Amino acid sequence: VKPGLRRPAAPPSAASAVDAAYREHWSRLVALLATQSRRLDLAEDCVQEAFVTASDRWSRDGVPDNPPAWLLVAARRRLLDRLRTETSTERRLPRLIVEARVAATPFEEVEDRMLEPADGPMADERLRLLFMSCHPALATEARAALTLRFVGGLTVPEIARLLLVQETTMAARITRAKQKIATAGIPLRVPEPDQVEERLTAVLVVLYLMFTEGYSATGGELMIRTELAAEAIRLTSLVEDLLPGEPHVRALRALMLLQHARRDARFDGGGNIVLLPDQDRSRWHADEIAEAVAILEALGRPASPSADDQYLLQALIASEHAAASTAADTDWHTIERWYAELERVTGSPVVRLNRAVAAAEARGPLAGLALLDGLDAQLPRSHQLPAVRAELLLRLGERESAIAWFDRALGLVRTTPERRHLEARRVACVEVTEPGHA
Amino acid sequence: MQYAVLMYDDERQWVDMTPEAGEQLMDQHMRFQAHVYEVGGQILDGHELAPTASATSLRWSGDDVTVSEGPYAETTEQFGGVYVLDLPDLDAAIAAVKILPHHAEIRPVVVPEGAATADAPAADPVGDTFLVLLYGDEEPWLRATPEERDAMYAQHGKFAAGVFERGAAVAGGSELAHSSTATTVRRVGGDVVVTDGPFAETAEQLTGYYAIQAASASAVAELLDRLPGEVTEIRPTISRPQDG
Repeated sequence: VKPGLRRPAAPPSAASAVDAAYREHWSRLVALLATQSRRLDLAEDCVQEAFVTASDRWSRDGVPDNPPAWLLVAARRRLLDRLRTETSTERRLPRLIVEARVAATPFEEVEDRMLEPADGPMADERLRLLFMSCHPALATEARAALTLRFVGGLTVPEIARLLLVQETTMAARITRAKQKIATAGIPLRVPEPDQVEERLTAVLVVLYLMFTEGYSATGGELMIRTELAAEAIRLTSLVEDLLPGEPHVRALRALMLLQHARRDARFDGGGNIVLLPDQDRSRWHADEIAEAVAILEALGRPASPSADDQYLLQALIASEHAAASTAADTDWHTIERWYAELERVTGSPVVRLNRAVAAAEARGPLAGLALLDGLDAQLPRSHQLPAVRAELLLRLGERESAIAWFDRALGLVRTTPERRHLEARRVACVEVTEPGHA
Repeated sequence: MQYAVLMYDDERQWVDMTPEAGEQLMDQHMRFQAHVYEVGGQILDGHELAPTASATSLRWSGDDVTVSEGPYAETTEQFGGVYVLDLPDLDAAIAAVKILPHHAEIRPVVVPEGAATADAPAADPVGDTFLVLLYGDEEPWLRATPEERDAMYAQHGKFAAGVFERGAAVAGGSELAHSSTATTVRRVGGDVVVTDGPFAETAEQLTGYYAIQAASASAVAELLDRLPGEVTEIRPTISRPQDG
C-alpha cells in the first residue's frame, strides 16, 4: 500500500507490521503530534520520519511489542529536535488552535493511551482531523483532499492520482488549505454538539464524494479507484463508531456497501461496462449486501422523507436491486416510488432521469419517456439523457429516432468504457434496422 | 486571534428603512456585541460607514494621483462596516457573525509583534472619523523580501507620524491577512452559508484600513500622499449615540 515504506531486505513480518501500523495509527500519531506542537506540517514530517526509521529498525531488531507507542516516541523525539533547531521565521508561523485541555495532557499519559486499541476512545483524534479537514470555511475540493491526506493517510501524489488532478496542483491546493487552517484559526477540535449536526452534512458529502470517485471507475485507474471506495467505507464506519446510532451516517454506509458489493461484476475482462441487468449476480459480495440490509432493517422505512434522508432513499433503491435474484425479479414499482420521493426531496434532474428509467421498467417505455420530457434544458451536457431516450425509443421500435439520440449521446460522452458501450448499442439498432430496409 | 468582520449589503435597502426596521437592526448588533463578550471575546474596533455616495477614491500611478467621487469599485453589494474581534478561533468568529443581519467576510488580522493592538487615539477627538480603505494587488506583498516589507511598514509609520503632525489622529486600523485566508458568511434566504475565500473575487483586495480623525474628507486625502498602495477609498463613518 505504501511502496515507499517497503524495504526489499525486510522480512515480511516487519514490512507488514509497518504497513499495518501505518494504516491504523498514522492519522492518530499526526493528530497527537499536531496537538502538542500546534504545527500540522511538522507533525506530518516527524511521523513520516518515524515510519521510515521503523521500517529500518523493525526489520533488523524485530517488531516492538507496542508498535504505535514505539512510533509515538520516535516521532516525538524528531519533533523535539526539529523544534530546537528551527529558525526564527519558522517560529513565527501561525499555530494550529487546539483545545487547551488536550494540549495540556502530559506526554507520558498520551504514550500510555497509545496502548489502547485504535478503535477505543482515543480514536477521536481522527475525528478531530476529519472535522478540521471538512470545515465549511475550506473549499469543497480541498476538504476531500485534506480528508484523504490526514484521515486516510494517503500521500499527495496518491491523492492527485485518485482525484484526477495534476500533482503540482494538488500539492498547491493542500498547502493553501493548510495555510488557511493555521492563519484563519480553524481549530483541531471536534465541534460543539450544536455544531456537529451542521458539520456532519459536510463530512458525509466528502465521504460520499470520495466513494463515488472510487465507484465511477474508468479504464486504467480501475484498481486504485476501487481501493478509494473501500477507504471511504472504512472512514464512514469510523464516523459511525464515533457517533453511534446517527441514522444518516448508517444510511450512507449501507448505500456504499450495496454499491460497492457489485464492484467485481460491473466490468468485464476487457474493461467494458456491464449494466445492472446483465451483471453476474453470483459475483456480488453477498456478505456486504447482508450487512447493508441489516442496517436498513434497523433504520426502518422513512414515513415522510426529507432532504436529510437522501442517502437512506438511495440505499433503499440499491437494496431492491440487491434483493432480486435475477434482473427480471426486480421490484421496479417500489424502486420508482423511492425515486419519486428522492426527486421530491432533492429536486435533482439526475434523479428524475433515474426515476424515468425505473418508470419505464415498471410501466413501459412511454411512462419513462413522459418523465424525460423537459429535462433537456436542465441537463444540456448529459450523455445519459439522450442515451436513455434512445433505449426507450428502441423498445418502442422507433429505430431511426433511437439512432439519432445515440449519436447525440456519443457527441457528449467523455469516458472510453461508456463510449464503447454506446457505440455497441448504436450498432445493435443499425443491425436490427438494416434487414428492414433490404 | 483577531478577526476583522467586513460587512457587505446592498446599501439601497437602508434608504427607505422604517424606524422599526432600523431599531431591529440595532438590536441585532447589540445582541452580536453582547454575544462576543459573553463567550469571553472582545470587540477591539467597530465602524459603521456612510453610504458609498459619500466616498472619495484616490488612485496612484507613480507620484500622480487621480481623485474621484464615489467608491473605488461599483458592486452590487457594498462594504458598509467593520468590526475587529478578539476570539479564540474561527468557529467562535463564525458563530458570532451569524447573529449579524449582513453578508460578512471574516479576515484574520495581522497583529504586529510586540506592538499594542492599535495606536492610541488622540486625547481630544479632532473632527469626524473617516475610514481609509487600502485596496491593492496582494501579489507583490507575497513576493516581497523582508527588507521590502520593513520598508513598507516604515512608510506606514511615517504616514502615522505625519497624521499627528498635521493635527489629525489615527484612531484605529488593522492590517488584514491575505484574502485567501478569508471566510465568507452569506445570508441566502433564511439560511447562512459559510464558504472559503473573500466576499468578492476582485483583482484588488482590501488589505487593511485606518480610522482617521480629521476635519474633513479632503483633509484626510491630503494626508494620504505618504501612504503606500495603489488605491485608497475614504469613507465617512456614522457615529451613533450609544457608541459612546
